[in-house]
Amino acid sequence: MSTPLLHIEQCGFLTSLQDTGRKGYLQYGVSKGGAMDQYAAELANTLVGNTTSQAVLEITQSPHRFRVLKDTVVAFTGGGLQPQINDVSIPLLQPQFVSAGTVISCKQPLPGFRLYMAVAGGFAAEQFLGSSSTDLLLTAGGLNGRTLKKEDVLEQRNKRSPLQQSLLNVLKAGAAIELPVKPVAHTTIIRVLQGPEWHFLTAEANTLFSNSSFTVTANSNRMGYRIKGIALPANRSCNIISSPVTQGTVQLTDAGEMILLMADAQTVGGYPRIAQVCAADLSLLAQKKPTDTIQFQIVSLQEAEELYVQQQNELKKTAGILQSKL
Amino acid sequence: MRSFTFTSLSESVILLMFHNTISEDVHLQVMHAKQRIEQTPFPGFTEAVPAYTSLAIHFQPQLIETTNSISSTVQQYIFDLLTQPVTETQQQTERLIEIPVCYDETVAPDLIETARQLQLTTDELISIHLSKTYRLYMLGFTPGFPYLGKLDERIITQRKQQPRLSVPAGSVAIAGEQTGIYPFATPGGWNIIGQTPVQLFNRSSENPFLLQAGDQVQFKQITLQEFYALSSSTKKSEES
Repeated sequence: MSTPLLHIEQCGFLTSLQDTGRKGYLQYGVSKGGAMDQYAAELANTLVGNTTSQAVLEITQSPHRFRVLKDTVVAFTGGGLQPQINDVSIPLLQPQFVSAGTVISCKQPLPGFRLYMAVAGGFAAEQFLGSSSTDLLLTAGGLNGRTLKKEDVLEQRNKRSPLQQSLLNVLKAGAAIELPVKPVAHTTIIRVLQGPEWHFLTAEANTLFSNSSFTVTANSNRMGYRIKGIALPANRSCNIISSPVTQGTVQLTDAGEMILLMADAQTVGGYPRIAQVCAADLSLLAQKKPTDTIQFQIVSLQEAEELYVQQQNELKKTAGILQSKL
Repeated sequence: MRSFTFTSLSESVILLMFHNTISEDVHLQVMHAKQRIEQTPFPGFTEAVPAYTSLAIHFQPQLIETTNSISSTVQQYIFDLLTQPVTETQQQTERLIEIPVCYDETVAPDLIETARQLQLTTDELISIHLSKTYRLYMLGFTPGFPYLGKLDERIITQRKQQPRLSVPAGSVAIAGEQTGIYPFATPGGWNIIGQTPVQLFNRSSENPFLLQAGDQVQFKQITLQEFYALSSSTKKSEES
């Protein structure tokens, strides 16, 4: 049975429960959804001994305060905010014991935009089409299909596993469990693949794409980022027969501007797909906020696959080390 | 004969691209490929998403066992599967779904203006819209929005210059060679010529979507009274 775990005492503007997203419903036009920074969400779960698909809290940069209602193990990943207990910073990327009654506040900015919080056992959430992710369009999943607000109370989903119980005991006793997790560098370089309609760009646009900086505009949300910069000339009309798109697809509009599709992306689109953000760097992109600048670097599919596999192996390695320390 | 080409959309999505025209024949090939992959999935396969002329095959790269490139391994699998002769008679099971539509102008805000632009009477526009069974090419734009085609040439229209900020759920609309139904109150730029009381999305059922790609959809005209009666009964069943 789930028990109250976290009382939201102060809530920012776009904070929701998310997991690894929905599978099997893209053909019905339902977006995959899930955490914007998928790697950070999976890592947060790994650090507290959860499976990677448990619901985590995606906290967008703005002041938050949480009261912990029972002893638990938490981990913070991603960026944007520095969690603190009594004005003392809690390190990101490490499991932490937090006792009942503790108040965690997140107000100091950090590089990045989205902070992830996982708890041992995961957060309880409404399941919709096989996922706990909050779908703001269908108002389903997560907590009543909406972003969180002040006075919400989140519950723990599963009982702690034996591993999680010993993790809690060890951390509670004051022992440190240092996991060798490398922080993600917040670089401006976003690696991409050429998209199916890359050839819609003129030769001049090909060069501009790689050699220019683009700025994330305020017209950006969980569905997509609109970016601004030098217009990219196309050699034909920017319309295609509506075709599949996915998270990370870079679309070119008639005005020569680009839309980067993010977690809540639609499933089909009629703009040319000139590029595709590498899965590994979608995490970096999820940490960008309006006014941040980015630059694209084209890589090969093989390189992108290697980056992805490397990231997945990193998660597996971390899970293995945690296990070996307990 | 091989009728498709491959490209990778991402590390976890391979696109099968067929002939680049909107036609029933091309779409049948898309749906046939979808069916074969779903019947004989490879380890790591998650889903196949059809569109007019292409099929997106999603998979989990970490589950593909290979010493080569992951995508080329998946491509090879799909190529081998789709170039195998069809052994048993694989009948594509296409469902025929009837959707009641009220074309009364009180629920069809663009009916009169659209007919005027097409130089038709509203009755002519309605009977032309009712005259065909439409193929459901894909769902998209919003969850459950069906792209149905193709329309009779006499009722091909432009989208509205100023899209509406909110279109009532159930609105039946036309634009270009397509007709569609808005499952939710969303912004929309198509010309609304009717409204259905049927819910395309029912969140309490296991598969909440009434329609799927490959369906045949036949509209059936109902009166305003029938529309209101059916609307209140769907509301009641939703509440219970």
